Amino acid sequence: MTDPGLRDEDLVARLRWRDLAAFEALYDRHAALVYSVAYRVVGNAQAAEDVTQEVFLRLWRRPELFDGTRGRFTTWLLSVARNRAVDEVRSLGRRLQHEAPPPEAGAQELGDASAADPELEAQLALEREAVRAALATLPPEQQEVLLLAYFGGLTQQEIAQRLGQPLGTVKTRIRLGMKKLRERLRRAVET
Amino acid sequence: MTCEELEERLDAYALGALDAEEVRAVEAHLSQCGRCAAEAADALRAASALALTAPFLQPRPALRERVLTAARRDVAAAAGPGPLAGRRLAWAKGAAAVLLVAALGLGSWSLALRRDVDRLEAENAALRSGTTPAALVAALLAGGEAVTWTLEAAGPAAGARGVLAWDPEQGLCALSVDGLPQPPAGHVYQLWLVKDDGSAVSMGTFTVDADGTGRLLSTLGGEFGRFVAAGVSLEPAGGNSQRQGAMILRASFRRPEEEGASGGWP
Repeated sequence: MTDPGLRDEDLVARLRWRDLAAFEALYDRHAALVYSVAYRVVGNAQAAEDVTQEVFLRLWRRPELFDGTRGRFTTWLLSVARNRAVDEVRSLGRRLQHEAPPPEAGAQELGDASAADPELEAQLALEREAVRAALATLPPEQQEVLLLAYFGGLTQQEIAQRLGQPLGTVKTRIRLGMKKLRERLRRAVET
Repeated sequence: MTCEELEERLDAYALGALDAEEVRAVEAHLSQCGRCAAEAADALRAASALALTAPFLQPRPALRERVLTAARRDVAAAAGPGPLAGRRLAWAKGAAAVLLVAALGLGSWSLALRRDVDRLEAENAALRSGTTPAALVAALLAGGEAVTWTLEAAGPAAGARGVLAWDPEQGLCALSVDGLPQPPAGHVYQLWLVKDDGSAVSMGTFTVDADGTGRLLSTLGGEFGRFVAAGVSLEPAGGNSQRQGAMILRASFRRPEEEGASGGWP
């Protein structure tokens, strides 16, 4: 059984010598988050599962792609997940069926994996609250462009076209929105 | 692209809102500019925080099974092409050392199998996998990057080289070396795996034939993921409980930038 106290980076290092237990531990810690981001982007359970599977198998086959000097593991994993999901939407095109999204998992519904690590789960819940609160303080037009870019996978140009706004306006909203988001998040960490 | 131009694009870059050409230009600058790279890490962290605004959902348990099965299949497949590709190595636990050597053609191998002997099980294992244990081990050694390591000469045995492979699922470790001189009388070669705390665990002893070829098959248990290096040393006949001889061949499982001045060696 893998020690729950091990950092993500240590678990990833073990992947290099094919440590399946380390891989399982990483899956149990991060699969739900990867799946949630994928689902938000693709809007379909099957496609979201496919994306999640590809993200984790990529990690298993090429652990060296994570460069620990460039930032945290979760940051990297989530960016891989988001990018893969956006690519999936592009490649599936009209074959992608949207569904009514399921309700968000309540505290009681969380699976065995998180029960095994309540501290991690609690921390994640706090972070989630902090980010949602921070985003909500942004003016709606800034929230809109950030979400269109991140989950919608649109470029600045495409967002400008979609909203019928000048490109310069979109660029400004992105910069101001991210600046504010970073400030709020920093403040949340400090309090 | 100047640092100022990069700074203007950093947020959009972190959000994935730049087109492909701009991404290339940004990444080219980042690979050269440490200061901007640090800024980029910051922006990426903020962008990935947005991931948390997605409704938090749990995937089905079936997905976990699919992913883990696929990873396990990968390990087996890494044992090489041919009849074993994509199949688990069907090496029975408790396969017999002596009996394999005698009956199934592993004559040149030294064996350090720790589990008990069962002739029938050993024969069944070979039958089930449709091949001989020698071929199983050869496949293990021929495996892809993921499961084999090359040992380089470190000192006296300049022409020697080795390959170390293992199958964590089966708990087997195989070593094949070439170009080793005959050990002096009363001595034997010994394989060690070194843990991250610096302690060395013996994987068994072996001799070499007239060609300087040596083979060792050993069982591997326990804290597998903690090994960071491997090495072969010369020890008194019968082996040593503690490594005393100098390392003649060694391999490090770490990336070079992770090693300390000692190269990871105790």
